[in-house]
Amino acid sequence: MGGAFRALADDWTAAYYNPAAYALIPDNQFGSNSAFLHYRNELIPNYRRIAGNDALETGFFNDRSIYNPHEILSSPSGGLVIRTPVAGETVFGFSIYQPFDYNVTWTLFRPLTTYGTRFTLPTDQYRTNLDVVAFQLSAGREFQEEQLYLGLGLQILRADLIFSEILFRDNPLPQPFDDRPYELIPQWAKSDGHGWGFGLRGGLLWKPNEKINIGFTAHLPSSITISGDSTQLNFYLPDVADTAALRIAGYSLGSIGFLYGSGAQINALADFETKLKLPPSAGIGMAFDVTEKLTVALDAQYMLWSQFDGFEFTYSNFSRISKLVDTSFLIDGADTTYIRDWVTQNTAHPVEWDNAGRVMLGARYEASNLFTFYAGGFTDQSPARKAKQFTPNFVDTGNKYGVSGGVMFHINEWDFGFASQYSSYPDLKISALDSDGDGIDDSFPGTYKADFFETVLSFIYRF
Amino acid sequence: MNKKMIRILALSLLLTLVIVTGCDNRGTNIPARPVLDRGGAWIAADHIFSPQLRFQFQNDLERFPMWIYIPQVAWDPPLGESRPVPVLILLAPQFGDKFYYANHGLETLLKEMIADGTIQPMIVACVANSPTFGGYLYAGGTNFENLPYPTSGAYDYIIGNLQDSLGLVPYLRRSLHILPGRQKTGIGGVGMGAYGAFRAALLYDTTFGSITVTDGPLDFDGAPGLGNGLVDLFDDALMEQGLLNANDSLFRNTFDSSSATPLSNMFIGGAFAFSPHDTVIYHHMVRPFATPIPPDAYPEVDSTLKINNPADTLTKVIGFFGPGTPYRFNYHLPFNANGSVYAPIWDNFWVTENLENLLDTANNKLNGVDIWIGTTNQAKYNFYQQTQSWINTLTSPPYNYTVTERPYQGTPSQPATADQYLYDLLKEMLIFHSESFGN
Repeated sequence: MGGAFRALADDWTAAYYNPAAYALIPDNQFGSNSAFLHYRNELIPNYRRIAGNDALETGFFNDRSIYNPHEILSSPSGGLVIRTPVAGETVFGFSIYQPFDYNVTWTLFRPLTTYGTRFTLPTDQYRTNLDVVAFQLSAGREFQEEQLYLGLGLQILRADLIFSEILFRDNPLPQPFDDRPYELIPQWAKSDGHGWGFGLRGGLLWKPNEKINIGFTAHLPSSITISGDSTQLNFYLPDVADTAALRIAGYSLGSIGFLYGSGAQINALADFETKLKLPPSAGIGMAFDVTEKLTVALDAQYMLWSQFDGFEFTYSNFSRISKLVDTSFLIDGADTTYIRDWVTQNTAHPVEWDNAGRVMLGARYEASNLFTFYAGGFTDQSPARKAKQFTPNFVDTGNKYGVSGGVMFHINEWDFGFASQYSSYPDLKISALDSDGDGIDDSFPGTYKADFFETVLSFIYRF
Repeated sequence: MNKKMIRILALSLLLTLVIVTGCDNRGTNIPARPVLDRGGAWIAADHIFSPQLRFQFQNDLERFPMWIYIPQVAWDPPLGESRPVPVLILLAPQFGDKFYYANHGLETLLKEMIADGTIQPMIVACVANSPTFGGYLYAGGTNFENLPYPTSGAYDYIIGNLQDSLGLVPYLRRSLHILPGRQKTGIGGVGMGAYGAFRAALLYDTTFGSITVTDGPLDFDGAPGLGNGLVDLFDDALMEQGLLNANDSLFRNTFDSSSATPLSNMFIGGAFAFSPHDTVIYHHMVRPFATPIPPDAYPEVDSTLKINNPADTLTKVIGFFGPGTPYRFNYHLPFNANGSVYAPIWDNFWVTENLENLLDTANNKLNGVDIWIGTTNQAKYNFYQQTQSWINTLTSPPYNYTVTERPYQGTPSQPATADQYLYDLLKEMLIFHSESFGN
């Protein structure tokens, strides 16, 4: 139904759509959904540095369609609903589902030819795999006979994040050792961790008459501190073939300056911490029974994505830093503070997103005792629609439009559902490399294209 | 369950299957790693050229350092097929050594571009600039006084001449599989190497058929509207030294020849190359490898100062190798302590070595030479203005040469003051030579 289910929810998924609807579920039930997701993204990089009238190559696969790896991702969810005589006729439920889920991986870069073939970067050069799972205890009950229902869900949120990206760090050596393309040193960083948080999902369902349902919902998730102990940082240092020139410039064998021209790869492991600021949201929906069999619904939702500011990683407890870092020394005998600071430098680059709305329109047609058909469409505002910083880590190219359809089979106590959804993203062309002019790349220029497919198989058993 | 329902379920499952698997696998379309030419670099291609470098400072082995790339086809079997190929000589800029171009990606560029057919296989010999006194502008001068060869070394002679078997080109042709002929021989350079390339091509004007350079000291005395060339840098050199308007004695006794003063070094190098009559040293080779080397002293040459007695010593600077050492040398700068032109030196020894004059006096001029010049107005040392002046000379009557001018700029955070963008220009330089070499 394109997601327009806020005023119609009548099964365990009301935990997500509107907990108040639990009060209308006439029986006990458990059910499960298995969603199969396919992110079909395309990026034609144009990651070049502009120098006068020239666009300088950087090692990215420019002017060529690059696709994210072909994957069909699965996202299972499930829930249990029990009617109990507790506190009147309160309906309780426990469900596990993913209110936030995003997954994208890219291979986009190979060091320029000066690096020869020495370095092979991992294939997950840009990756965001964010799963937020809600373990939700819900309750719904009638407050005004056949008119007003309220529901509340208490959530424990578990967030799992794998995030990797390529950044470029200034080469600290002077000219000519920092001549193109060694002026910037590629860094690949990958963090893998998880964290816990809480959330509240509240709902209200109002039936002003027999034909109309109106639902209100709100979701208040807490921020989640995600941490891990396996951040991997790889630095691919320039290869100054001319060690004599390095020596003449004062960088003797074993010095830090020498290390920067050594062509070595230095690595480090670290603990990390980042804050996932999930957006609160509120929504309203209305369902109207056009006929006995046909119901149409219209929902609107507003999410405060402006609270989300990307992932600002803080690294600590560096361990297993390449031996080269600690065995290098400054010419004047100073310690290795400099390169340690360089390796452990905070390279966070937050994003600025905007609040976003979503409007959904759906219809349900109960064809018979055996079949119920669903159809819908939606338009979904992109929180990144005005963002100056745009990277392959979040391919949300603009306002999306989607259609969905499905069927539910009713067989005795069982319901079997099948639904599919397609979301169309607009093409997006990003031109700026350094959107704020601070000298640090914060955007990934190129042409982005995206489509999203989702198929959901479900069952519900009523008892 | 009736048949209708079974059909519907089956249809639903089929649809699911189609949707789940129906989106075809496009792969990632990541480009394959480029195929590389299997040739390689001869990094220890240093050659000893006697006697032109015999009296060069800190080069008592008369070493002429080179880094040479040899494409696969030019190697002998079993790796190659001994096929003769064209040769390109690249001259490093001030303080650049034989790895200078390799450090800017030359080897892998050659491997990639040769393998994919962007350029034809070629041997590329990268010549080091002398690390001493600014590299001598790849010049040798002609006034050696009572020395058989200049203390700067006779670079232009080594690089350009075809008659002396010890010259670079005859040596390369003799040692490697190289096609003979001017059209198959190119030269290029950056900064000071740009001057060296044109200088060698003009003094030995049947040697090279193509030249690629980036901005350099290509017009010592500038041109109307384009500054006064090196003359505008005299003050800068003195300021670099902290000696602008110093008294004569201070100027002559403390002018620092260390590499920490690169602009001054360029003038010192030029002084050794162009006006050597005050730089004569008595020199005999002892190579006392077995004897202790005193610290701060010129380590491998036992030199005794022997100054001629010039009539005017106004700009004669007293050099030294280190405090308390007996090893001394003098040179004659083209400017005085006020940064003013010292005409006897400038007019007689520097301006005569300006490319314009060399072009005037060259027999064959640059006729038939393909010329490519990379130029940026961000270049240091007024090199841009000098380059523009030189381009004007080449493209104006009576020469009217066709010059492929390649303007470029740096990024806002990294202006192209020197050779920061050589990596990007090298590709175009190689292509230019490859096309000039012909089939």
